[in-house]
Amino acid sequence: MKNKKGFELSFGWLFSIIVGIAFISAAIYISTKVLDTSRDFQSAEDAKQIGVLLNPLETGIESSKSGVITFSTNTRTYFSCDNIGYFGNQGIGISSESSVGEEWRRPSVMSKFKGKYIFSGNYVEGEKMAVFVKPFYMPYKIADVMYAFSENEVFCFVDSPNYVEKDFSSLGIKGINISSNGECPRNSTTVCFSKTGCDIDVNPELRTVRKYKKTIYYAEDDNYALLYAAIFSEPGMYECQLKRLMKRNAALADIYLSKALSLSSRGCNSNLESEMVMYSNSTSKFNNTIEIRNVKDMSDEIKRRNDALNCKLF
Amino acid sequence: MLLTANYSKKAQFKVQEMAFTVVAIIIFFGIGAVFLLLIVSDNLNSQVELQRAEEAKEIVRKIAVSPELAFTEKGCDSCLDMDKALALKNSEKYDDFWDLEYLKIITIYPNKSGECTKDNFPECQSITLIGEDEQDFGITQGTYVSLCRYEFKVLGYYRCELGKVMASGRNL
Repeated sequence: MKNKKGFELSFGWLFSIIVGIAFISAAIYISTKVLDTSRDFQSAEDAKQIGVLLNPLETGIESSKSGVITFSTNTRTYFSCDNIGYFGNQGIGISSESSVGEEWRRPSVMSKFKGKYIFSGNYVEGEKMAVFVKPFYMPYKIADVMYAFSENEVFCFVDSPNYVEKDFSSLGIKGINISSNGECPRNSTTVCFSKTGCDIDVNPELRTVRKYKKTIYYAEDDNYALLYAAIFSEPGMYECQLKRLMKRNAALADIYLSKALSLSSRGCNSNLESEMVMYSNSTSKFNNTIEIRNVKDMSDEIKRRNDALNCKLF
Repeated sequence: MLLTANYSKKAQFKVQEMAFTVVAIIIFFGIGAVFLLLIVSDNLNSQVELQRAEEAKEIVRKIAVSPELAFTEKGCDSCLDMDKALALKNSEKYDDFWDLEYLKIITIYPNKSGECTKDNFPECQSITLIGEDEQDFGITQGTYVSLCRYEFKVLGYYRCELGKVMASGRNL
């Protein structure tokens, strides 16, 4: 017959075990939460720092600038774009590779910037992030547009026009390969200007860029800022950022309209008031990248008339 | 029928002892957590203040080249267009564009007085774009700039005066 008495556990032991388990569970839960919060806080602080670090890259009278942001560990920099409010927002979030918990924890809070326009993929991964900046004019300066990609990435430009070669040779960015014979390094992203079937196909005559099976439109501005924007960014990001740029363009058109009225009351009539009103209306309603062609035509006309003025608006 | 239960006095005492110990441990950790939170929040506040100052410094440094204020006619890198600044003063859109709590442009030389309006411009001293003078904005950053505008007397010409841009970052 089996012994049914079993092991006797005193109340004191039972109580200690239950309370001990509760304490240890609570400690694990709290330390995990504290760790997550501290990672979120660090990521928000780093993202804000990236925003501040990008400020010196903004151009004054220069036509372009470039730089490299170096992280201490392998880092993902997330970029987002929204069109909320008058100017929309550029979001920047940071996530560092971690051996505790999730390897890549997506930032819960993105730092928002109203005056920045970063054209990139949804995130850039690596210890070094290459950034170059170009001022975007249409017809006056609207903003500095930034292009970001990982230094581990290689973009191979095949049969690119002279201005592209000249731009990249003066910027000296690592990861940009100009190929004249059509040969590109393995695993590079190919950008073709005269043929199709590459990762990114540019048609300079139609002013279109085909990427991820999507066609987006650009306009040839003074610094080819929109061409590079279309090449280096994800199509959804390009469309969103272009809408934000047009919102800023509309706000600037209103400022130049006020300036035109102020100058005319002081004896210098520009006769550009009605054009600025039309330009502001057209850019504020911008909804599709193909509309950039119409905006460019209006901008060229305003530029032509402004250049002929004695007291120029811009 | 009256039912009675016979509890062991020793066991009751042990439960009480354990309960007091648990409460004491919770209070001990609670006090520790409060101190930790105070230290972390103090550290956080000073970091936020530093970030605000750093950002305001960067914005002030670059404000003269921002398309909304830059004087573009002569390709001057640190010249502000006062006509654009006056237009910006009346634009609600830019209230929270720069993430600043205070932004003011002051003419230093020649000596002038009063806030600029459409009626008294350019015979005025300052244009307050964000915030009001009476408020306390913490650390304020400033930079010297040229304040330029188009003047029309017999012939038109561009006139620049010495000025300063003052700014303070937004409080969280």
